[in-house]
Amino acid sequence: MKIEILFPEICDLYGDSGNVLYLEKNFPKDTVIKTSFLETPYFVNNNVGLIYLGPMNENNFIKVLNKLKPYKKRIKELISQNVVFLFTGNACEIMGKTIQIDNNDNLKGLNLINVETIFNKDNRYNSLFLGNFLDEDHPIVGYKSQNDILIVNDTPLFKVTKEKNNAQFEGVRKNNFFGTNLLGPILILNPYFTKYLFSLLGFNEPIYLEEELISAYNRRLKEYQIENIKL
Amino acid sequence: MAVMAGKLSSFILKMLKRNIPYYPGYIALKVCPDFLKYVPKPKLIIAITGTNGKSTICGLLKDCLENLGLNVINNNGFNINTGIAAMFLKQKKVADVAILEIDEKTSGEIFKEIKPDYLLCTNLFRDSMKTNSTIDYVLAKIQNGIPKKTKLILNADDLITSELAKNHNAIYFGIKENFGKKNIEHRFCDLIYCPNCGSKLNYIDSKYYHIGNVLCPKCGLTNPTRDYVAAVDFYKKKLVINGNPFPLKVTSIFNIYNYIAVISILLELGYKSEIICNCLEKVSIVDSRFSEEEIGKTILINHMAKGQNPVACSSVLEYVKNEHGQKCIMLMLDDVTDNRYSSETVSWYYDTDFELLNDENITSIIVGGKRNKDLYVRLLLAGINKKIISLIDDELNMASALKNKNFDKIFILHDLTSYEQSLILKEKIKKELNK
Repeated sequence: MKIEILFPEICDLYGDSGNVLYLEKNFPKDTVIKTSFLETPYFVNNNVGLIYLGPMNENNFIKVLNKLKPYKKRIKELISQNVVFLFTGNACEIMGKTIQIDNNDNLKGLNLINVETIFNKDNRYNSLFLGNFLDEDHPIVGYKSQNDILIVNDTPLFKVTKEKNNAQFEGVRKNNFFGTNLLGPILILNPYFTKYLFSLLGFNEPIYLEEELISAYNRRLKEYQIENIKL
Repeated sequence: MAVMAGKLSSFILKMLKRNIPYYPGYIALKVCPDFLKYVPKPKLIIAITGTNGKSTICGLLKDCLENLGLNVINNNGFNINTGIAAMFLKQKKVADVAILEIDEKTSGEIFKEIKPDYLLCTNLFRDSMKTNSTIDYVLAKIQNGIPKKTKLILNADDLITSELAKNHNAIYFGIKENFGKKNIEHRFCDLIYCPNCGSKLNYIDSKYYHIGNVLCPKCGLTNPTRDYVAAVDFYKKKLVINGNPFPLKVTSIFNIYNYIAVISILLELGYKSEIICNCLEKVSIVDSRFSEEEIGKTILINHMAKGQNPVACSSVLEYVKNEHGQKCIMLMLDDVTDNRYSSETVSWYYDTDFELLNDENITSIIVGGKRNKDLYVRLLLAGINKKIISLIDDELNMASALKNKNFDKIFILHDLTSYEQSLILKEKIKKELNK
């Protein structure tokens, strides 16, 4: 089983490279493949268990979208084969239908999930996030900081408990494609979600520093659950 | 009317013993939104913007110009319109020089009202995700607002800020010599590919992050020609710029660039190198950023390591790593405001090079504050031995974790928002060491 990190040198904003660091701590060195932007993605000609893509800036977003366009068919095939995808920040928007930029240009996404994005460069949205995934025992905690609004017409990923904009749902899921705007890095901040994700890869051992991650998560969760916390 | 309202609010704040330096400016702008346009201004206006180094450069430059007998005003870090308005309100008579520290995102708005003679952009890096979005965004914000008359003073070793020179009169400073540190070893680099042709850039010599000597192997893009070429003599603590020596009181590379920037401005203003040398001998970086004190045989260093700003924080961590002796590090990096009302996001930990603290001469790390468990995880992921890490929830009690007093150096690394707390901690450490 291989884990492919796509373009980590440019898709690494807002500390989400912590997800890469954490994957590397959990899986053997030769399992994790880092594909640079100038290379052909490993998944094009090989089987993979997980593909990770992190957040990127505006210029790189367009470049990455164009880079992945020729592989649209293959990505569709991998999603249908239940390969795990974790796309964080604006990465998941690449997979959607359209990206409307500042009320002008309409970029076409890969159209593999039913998501539309509205991007406004002068409208920064910041919020703490508290939500639920599969059960209510281990809520998801995270942070959103973005210029985009996502209109998700596919199955959402998380049910929102607390977020500044009173949204009902967050992110998108299609088979084992997990797309979320949550920054964090999500794998380190949400050990129970990570354990679930890793179980999809057949990894059922304790995760790296599990006790420490859970202890930090519990404290954060307590804070997020305070009624009048400033989001 | 706006001046009167601003000054009245200043008087009231004084009576109430409240220290809100930007508030009179806020009132003045409420009364007259064009206040900055009409307020009397000095003949010479120098603006400083960029991600890191703004306050340090402003402080050094102000001290130098005051040493030269000029009446100088500065907004003391309150770098948006309200802080700048408050600065002008304080003028009893029109000053000789205004040194404006300007927030990079709102610079365009400021420049609609104030046209600086010089604009120095220190550098551009990824910064707080909450306020600064991305570099592309910030660069465009600065670029779109620069007035025509303004002469740019840019860091030639930063190819991102060099972009600002398009359609503007610019001069450059920088370090041409190679330090021989070829690989970029940081958690990230904001400029990997050539902005012209998309090829992978060759960092001939990286001073830190994307700052350095660069060449694109395909299209030949390289650093602009430096008008002020600096060489650093680390051993003699000396800077040589265009052949002239200047004293250097700092060793960290980011502060060396701050010194080069200050000297470049003074040279550009026409001051002779001997006069600048004389000024630099008398000035130093402000205490809220850096101070050191000897307590017995231990040197206690209080250093700001701006949280949520990975480059600023990593640069301080690098400085700490390079210092000699047995070291104890006290981390109080929480954002005080976030902690009071919210829960601080820790994503910036993963852009910050905490790996630098994985060093055999660092034998104790004490982590204080609400976020200490998150930072503990980060330190463990950086490969640091858990045996040397202590967690203290109340930052002000971190001195109690000082088990061993035989350190050559103790560093308090604090956030921009926790300077006051760092001073309290410093006193407690002194007591502990004197026991």
